[in-house]
Amino acid sequence: MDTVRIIEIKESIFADNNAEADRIREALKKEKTFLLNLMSSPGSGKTTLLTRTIEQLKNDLRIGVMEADIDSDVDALTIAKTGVKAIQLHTGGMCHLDAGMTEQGMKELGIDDIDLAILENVGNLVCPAEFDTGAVKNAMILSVPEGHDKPLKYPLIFEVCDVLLINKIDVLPYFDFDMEKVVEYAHMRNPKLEIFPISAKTGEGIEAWTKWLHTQVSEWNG
Amino acid sequence: MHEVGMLVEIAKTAARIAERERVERVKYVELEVGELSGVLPELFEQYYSFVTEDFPALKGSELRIHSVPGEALCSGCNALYNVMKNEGKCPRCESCYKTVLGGKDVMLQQIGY
Repeated sequence: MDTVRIIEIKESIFADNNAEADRIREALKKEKTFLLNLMSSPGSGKTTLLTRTIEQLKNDLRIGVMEADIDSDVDALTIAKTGVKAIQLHTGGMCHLDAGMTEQGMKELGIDDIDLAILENVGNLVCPAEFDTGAVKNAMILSVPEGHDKPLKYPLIFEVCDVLLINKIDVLPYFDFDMEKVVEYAHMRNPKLEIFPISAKTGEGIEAWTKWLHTQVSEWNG
Repeated sequence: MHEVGMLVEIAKTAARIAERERVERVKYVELEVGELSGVLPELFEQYYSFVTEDFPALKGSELRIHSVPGEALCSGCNALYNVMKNEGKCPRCESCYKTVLGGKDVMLQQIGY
């Protein structure tokens, strides 16, 4: 009779990635660099928000940006125009960035002379939430046209994020978007989530967000 | 489609262990999939043979999946409840503060050969 032998493993499939992410955070702490992982769905305004954020903070902090996309370098070119260091990462068809790819990106960017590194993750609300990139804090954007029910549909991303930016509040009058409900749903998923309603286009609410970010960077970099 | 990316991670780990243990042909790979992991086990099953094409030791092997419920302990009243069934809210005191006790992970349990 055919006998089956067994090898017991009991290992999380994220174990390798999580260990690598922890190593990245240690290196960041040593180099006094804060890494922000920015996630959202496509078209929520990540690049526009970044441009605004850089404008507000570039006099106080040395900033570097890593743009991740499946292909193309249009975002990196837009960011480079703001005068900060920007590189483009290609995920080669993958829908998210993992710790290994982030580490490669940071090597290319060079973190020794950077206070705030921002990773613009691939536009997607599912996969990026599952892979720890080694970032110090996770941020996400939800834009008004996407609807206020997203925390119910994509719970994990709301759980892993420290801050939620509700973007495009300038178009609120044209959408059935319930601000109270979205806050309630998001806090149901994560009671500690910081929430900032903003418009990256008009600049409304941007200062409260950049102030929060600046405080986080100062606390981490000591 | 994130199941494919995860399957690649699983296949890499299983192939690494097979190589370490000098196993040439794996018969099955057994996973534990948590209810809160965001994974659809059906998609794992659907793409498994496609992903393992690139891993000679795993080619033709079977994928076995056990589902693990997502349980949480309420920080407000210490009630134990199922997160999915109650939409993350304690059915007794309605608090959202909780410690998730299990069901978040995807674990590679064992390989048979």
